[in-house]
Amino acid sequence: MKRFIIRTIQYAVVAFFVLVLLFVVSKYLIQKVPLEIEPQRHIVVIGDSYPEGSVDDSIFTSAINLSRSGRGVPYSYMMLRDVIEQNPHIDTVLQSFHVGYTSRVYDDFIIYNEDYFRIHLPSSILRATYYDMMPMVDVPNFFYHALRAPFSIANLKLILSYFNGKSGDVRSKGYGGFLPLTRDALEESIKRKEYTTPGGADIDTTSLSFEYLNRMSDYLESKGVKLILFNFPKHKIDRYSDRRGYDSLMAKYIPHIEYFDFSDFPLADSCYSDIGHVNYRGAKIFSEYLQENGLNNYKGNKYNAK
Amino acid sequence: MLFNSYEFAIFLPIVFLIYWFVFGRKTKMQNLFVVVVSYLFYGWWDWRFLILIAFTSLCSYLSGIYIDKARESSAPQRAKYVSATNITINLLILAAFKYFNFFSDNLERLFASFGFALDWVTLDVLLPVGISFYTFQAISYTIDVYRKSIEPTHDVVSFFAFVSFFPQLVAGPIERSTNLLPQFYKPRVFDYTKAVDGARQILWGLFKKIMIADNCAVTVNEIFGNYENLGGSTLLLGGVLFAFQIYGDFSGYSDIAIGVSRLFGINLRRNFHFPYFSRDIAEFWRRWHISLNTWFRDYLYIPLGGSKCGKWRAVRNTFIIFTVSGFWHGANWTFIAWGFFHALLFLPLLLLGQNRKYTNAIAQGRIFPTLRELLGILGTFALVVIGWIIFRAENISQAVGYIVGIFNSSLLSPPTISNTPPFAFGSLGIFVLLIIEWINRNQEFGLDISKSKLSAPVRGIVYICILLLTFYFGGQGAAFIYFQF
Repeated sequence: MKRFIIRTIQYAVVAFFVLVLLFVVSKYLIQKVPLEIEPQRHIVVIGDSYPEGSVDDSIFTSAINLSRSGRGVPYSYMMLRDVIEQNPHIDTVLQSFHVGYTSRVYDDFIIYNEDYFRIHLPSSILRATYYDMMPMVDVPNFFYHALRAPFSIANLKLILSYFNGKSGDVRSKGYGGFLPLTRDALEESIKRKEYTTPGGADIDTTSLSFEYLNRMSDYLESKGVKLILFNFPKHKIDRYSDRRGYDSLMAKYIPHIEYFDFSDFPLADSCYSDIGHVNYRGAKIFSEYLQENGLNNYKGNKYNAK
Repeated sequence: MLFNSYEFAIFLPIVFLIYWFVFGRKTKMQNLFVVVVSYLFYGWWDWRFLILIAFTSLCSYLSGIYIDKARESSAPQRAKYVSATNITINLLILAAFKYFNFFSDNLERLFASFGFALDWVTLDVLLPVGISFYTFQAISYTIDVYRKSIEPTHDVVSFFAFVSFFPQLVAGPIERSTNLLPQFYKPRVFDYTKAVDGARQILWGLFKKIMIADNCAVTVNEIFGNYENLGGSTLLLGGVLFAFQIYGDFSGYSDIAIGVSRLFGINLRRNFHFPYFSRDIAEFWRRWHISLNTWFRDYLYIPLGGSKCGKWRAVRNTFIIFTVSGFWHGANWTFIAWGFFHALLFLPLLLLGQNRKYTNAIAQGRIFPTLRELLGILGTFALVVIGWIIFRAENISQAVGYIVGIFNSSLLSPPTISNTPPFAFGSLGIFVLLIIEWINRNQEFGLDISKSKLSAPVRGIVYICILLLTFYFGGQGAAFIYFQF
């Protein structure tokens, strides 16, 4: 009996040691992966599928699009820190934002959704600290996901990129990029209204997105980087109606963060892939507009502007 | 409480230590402890289930005593009535909880087709997990006592432990009283070799469940949920993956159950014997869910006359046993059709006297199978996959639509998989499974490498690798498929 228990403990210890070793090695390697951004690109566009399909950074050349479908604010925040640390020339961050981001319903949709969770959590957890992750996962889950992370596809890609040499675009390392949408599902999505913004015009200060939005703001402020929340063009069906009420909520809860609302940017129906996302035609028009006008000349709905 | 859960990872070591260190020399206390922890394990799902299992256990226990008394009394035929009463009670419980709505729905539809609107009752009851397993175990005891295969027990604690023994309570193997009950009478001494074997089998079961079944489930659910819009090759892949999902899930559970039992000094019956290496359907049925199939053979097929009562009755008996076996799995026409389909496959072998052609080991004395064996294995697997599609489908029309969808020109085009990682990890798991199980096909289970020539350190590395593969590439923890049966 004693022998069996000792042997079982020995195996458990060896297995745990291997897990910890692989975690430490992969964390070290991932933190060493270079994330260089060309000097002329001083704006980082970050967020989920809205900026991913809207900002073509081959047109809007002062920016780099590091968005990825389903990436919530917590993951953007963790990823952003690495990028900013390695690229001190970045002076502005455009974070995807709409009213639903500050609701707990949206937390469930974009953070705890099983598919998104499995994609984004492993790639963040190796860069994150315990403090970073704690609002998102409980303690046993933190350790479970952290120990499993080295063999997630995203992290394996990153580790490989470390061994493949120190050059290469940050976008090729799984950090995101512009994705032109070609699907033509506007009619269908109008019928189904599947992309209607969840949450309504109410800010829940206990939502995770709201919590991480504030963390992001504090961090960027400490680095002297300007954070602008950015709402990307949306079909008229998907724009929120209670703008006045929303304005007051923004002013009350996040008066320190600037917010540019491009949701009613004029685009024809042919420029939409569905009611929430522009297609490649819309992305071209919108990116050309940003390239020509820049952010400083923006005349649209601007909140909390300094 | 699932075997692949944190709760069980805490529950098992605690129970193991108390069982051996606190009650190690007191068999009766060990048995009582087994009953308590088994009820705790089962009640973890829903405490109300405990009423049902306690009732089933009590009825069967009393029936054994009354059968014995009746036999010794002046009216021995009463033994038959007692036995029949207990079987009827058990089957009625099973029917009420598992089949009532199926029968009422079908009756309603039948009357509706004749223009009568029948306002039939449907029961809104929770299906107790594993009810078919422990009910069959309890019934087998009554029959065994009636047949005098076993003496009726007067030890109520041992009997309750026999019906509720937690490792095999919810998904088998379905134990026979002749095998399991006597083990609760005898003092159990900790056996290091047996415990190590058990731990090894648990590891292999977890690998099959988490690495193969849980990963395959993602792709399978996607494909079966959208089968109308997918090409033939994708549908075929869905069928193949489901074959491995259900094997990984169910045989994985059996491996864990047998392994856990060994830790407690109890030997359970083997439930799977590398079924996908079978060379014909008859051999497949000797290797798949052995405890259920031998149950039906001993308590239904042979009493009906088996195959030794003329061809037509043998044909009838074959259809009965396969159809009932299908229906045992659940209240759905797909399960009945699955059983019927296998009866059709089995029948030619029975009529030609070929159903016991392959009772020897596969590729005995050789590393690889002969071409004939390989073709037999692949052909049998293809037929089994078609059966699994029927089994997995929501209804008969989906099963037909799915199978018809496979056979078109898109069968030759590459399959389309949207969620690649689970598919890739599941495929890796299947690859490892096939290699290890083929190498050890003459052993008790896939990872039974105790008799191999591998040195202890190499064996240790193999265990660690299996553990790490399971941990890193395992799918999301899901309930075992067979719990619903």
